[in-house]
Amino acid sequence: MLKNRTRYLPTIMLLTLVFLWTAGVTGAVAGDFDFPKTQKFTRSIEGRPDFPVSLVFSRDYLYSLGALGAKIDGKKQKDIASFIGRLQRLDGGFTNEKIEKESSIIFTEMALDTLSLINLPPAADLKQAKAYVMSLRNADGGFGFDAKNKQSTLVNTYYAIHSLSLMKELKAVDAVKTAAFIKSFENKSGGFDYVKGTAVPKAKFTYMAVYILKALGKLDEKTRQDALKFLSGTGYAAGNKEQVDVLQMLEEMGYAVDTFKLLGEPKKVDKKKGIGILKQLYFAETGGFGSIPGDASTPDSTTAGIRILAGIGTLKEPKTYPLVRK
Amino acid sequence: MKKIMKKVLLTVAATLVSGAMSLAIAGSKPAPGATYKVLAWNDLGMHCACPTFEGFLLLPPFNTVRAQVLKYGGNDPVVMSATSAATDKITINYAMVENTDANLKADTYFASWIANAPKLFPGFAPVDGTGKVMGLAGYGLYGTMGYNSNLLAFEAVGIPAYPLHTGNTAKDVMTDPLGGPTRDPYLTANVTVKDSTGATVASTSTVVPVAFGGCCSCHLQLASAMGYPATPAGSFAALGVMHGKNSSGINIAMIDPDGDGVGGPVRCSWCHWDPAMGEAAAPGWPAGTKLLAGATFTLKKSTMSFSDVLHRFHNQSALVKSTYDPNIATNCYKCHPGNGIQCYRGVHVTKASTMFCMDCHGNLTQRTSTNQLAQPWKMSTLPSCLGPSAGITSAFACHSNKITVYPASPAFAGAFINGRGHKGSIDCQACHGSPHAERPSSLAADNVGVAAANSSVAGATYPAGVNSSYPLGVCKFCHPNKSTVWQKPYHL
Repeated sequence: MLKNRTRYLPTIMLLTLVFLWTAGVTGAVAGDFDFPKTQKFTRSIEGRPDFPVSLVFSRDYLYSLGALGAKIDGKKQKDIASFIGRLQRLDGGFTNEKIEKESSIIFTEMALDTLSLINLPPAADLKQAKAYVMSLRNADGGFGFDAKNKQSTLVNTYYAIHSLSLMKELKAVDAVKTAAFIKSFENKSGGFDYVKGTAVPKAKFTYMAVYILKALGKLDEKTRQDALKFLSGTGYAAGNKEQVDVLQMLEEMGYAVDTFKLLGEPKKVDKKKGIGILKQLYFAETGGFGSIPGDASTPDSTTAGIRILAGIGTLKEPKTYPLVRK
Repeated sequence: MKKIMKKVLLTVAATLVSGAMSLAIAGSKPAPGATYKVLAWNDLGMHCACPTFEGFLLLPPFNTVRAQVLKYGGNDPVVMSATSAATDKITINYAMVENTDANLKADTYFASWIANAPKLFPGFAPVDGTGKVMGLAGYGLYGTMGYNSNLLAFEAVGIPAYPLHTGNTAKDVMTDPLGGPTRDPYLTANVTVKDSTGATVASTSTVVPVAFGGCCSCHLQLASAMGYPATPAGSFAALGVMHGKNSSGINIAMIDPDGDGVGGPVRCSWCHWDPAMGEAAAPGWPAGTKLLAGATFTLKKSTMSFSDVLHRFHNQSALVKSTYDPNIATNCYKCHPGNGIQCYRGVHVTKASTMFCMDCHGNLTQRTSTNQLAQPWKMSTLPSCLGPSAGITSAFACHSNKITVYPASPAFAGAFINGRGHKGSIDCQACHGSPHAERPSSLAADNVGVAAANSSVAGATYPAGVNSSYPLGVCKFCHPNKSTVWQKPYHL
């Protein structure tokens, strides 16, 4: 009997090692989260008569289900695509909801990003969308928010560059000028903030700056190293015991994960802390995540949590589709 | 201001009269053989309060507890009024459990209220001559309730309830945005009916919820981004600069109402009228208000309500949408509590998890486009059980029950808060609980009072899927000759 059991010992040990390795890689411990429940929460919006409600909720739905490995009904995809099509305004930009009249760069980027999660030909006029984005370009190389708020900002420029990247239209940008504009937001710590010269850079804005510079082929090694140095000093980096701000940790953790990946150093993120943060934010009643400990889950905060899990490999990044079809 | 003070004085007078009545009947014997029952609730389901009052005031500590008292015995109970209570020689009393005069005075944040409240509400003393902490409408943390003849309910208006760190980790669930220890936002009030000998003849308890809003989570960041310290003072200075960039040109941080040479404290509703403060028009600045050196603006009042300017600005700001939250129109918890607690926790969320705030109120884009906030806190712009706010299409079917609403045009709040049903005798909230926390609520404490009421009937039974935490529905609780089976009572 004992001999029989010991026969399987190497196999059991091997399986245990595989499990521990997997847990180590993903940072996840079995039972931390009830993903079928998370999926059910995400899907609960399907029952709403006004599905998909808004652009923001559309992206939350597609991203979350995609990362959870759930099948998305073809009709729902079509519904979302057609909903987004109706959000495109005459100037080529998009709004968040049907009742809104004035398009903006953020919802244009969100519309294009959401369409890239759908395996259907884009239900939008991409030529017009590109024209809208370019209409917001300023002489300083940055981009404005909308027709009324024309001032260039780092954030608006990120949305513009990401939009153009999704449409494979980056060649329209004056890369040198835009890169110089973005570099002007760099803080002496190596991170970026959305206001020039302030002392408190954030992972979020550092991600946006690094994304722009990388997309334009202007991320030099010094800027890369400086950004890594900044991120490594935050509480989101492996081996750093720096406290994180409870009010910002969901968003900042997500951007720290993504920035480390963009910089080619995904292992530098503290996955264990990421899981720890998400355990604090997990809302067991729905399987979703709240914004801060104790908050009820919303589609937005749940998607932000799922994004972290996808970033650290516990879940998979959802599949994306090119907006430009041959 | 005059109106507020008038309201405060009237309430104080009513309290004194009520107290005098109580004294007048002290020593008399209670009605022989009478049995009383009491149901209590909080008016809103969640109140906001700020953690600091040095810079500006959004909302003061102000919580209202209401109670209906039923005299049980005949087939139909008598809903007690001020008159019948006096005849029966009973008083209806309340007492906060977690908040005491001593611990509120010792709390740093509440101490800021005590220090600044007289400047924000000239003539108001947050601590009376006996050392008792008082609310703006004349009620303290404990005392005798007054009577509201519109609601047929006893009430203590404007109790200065405030979230506190209790040391009980199960109760201290609210995150302090300023980095202090967590606090208990779901406070408790005990409501007791006493006879003339002081003996308790009926009692219940209710949650008295109060929490910090979510404002600090963005505004401390904003202050920092603008080059100011990420502190309340830094945020006030940054907000002043931002406010100075709007059409008013007024930098609120350069207003010095108390003349001490430092900006603040400023009450937003001095310029932007707020029905939640009892105002129908902006009252203007206190006499003696000065501007700090370097100010280049003149003070003026706005015709727009505080609710309108606050919501409209946040939903239309490019900075808010691009940098802080693109979904600000729907993410109400970004500003409303928030901070690890749930304002919205009632049956609409426990029974329909995708029914959002916007299904009743509309999201911010809808609320501003339908101009709801031009008349905030009004029955005409608030949702009811029968439908969402005017101009809003809910994704869910509303209730078809008719209710009696009295008065027809209440000065403050909507049909549910002011409504009575069941032959116009019982306040909607007496059975259903507070708005946003309607029974069964996801917070067990919200259900305690009604669960005790339903369960107090011997042999009470419930249909499948229903339990004692559902709204009061065991008929025998009120009617001795009726059923012990829980059911939906007659609503009209």
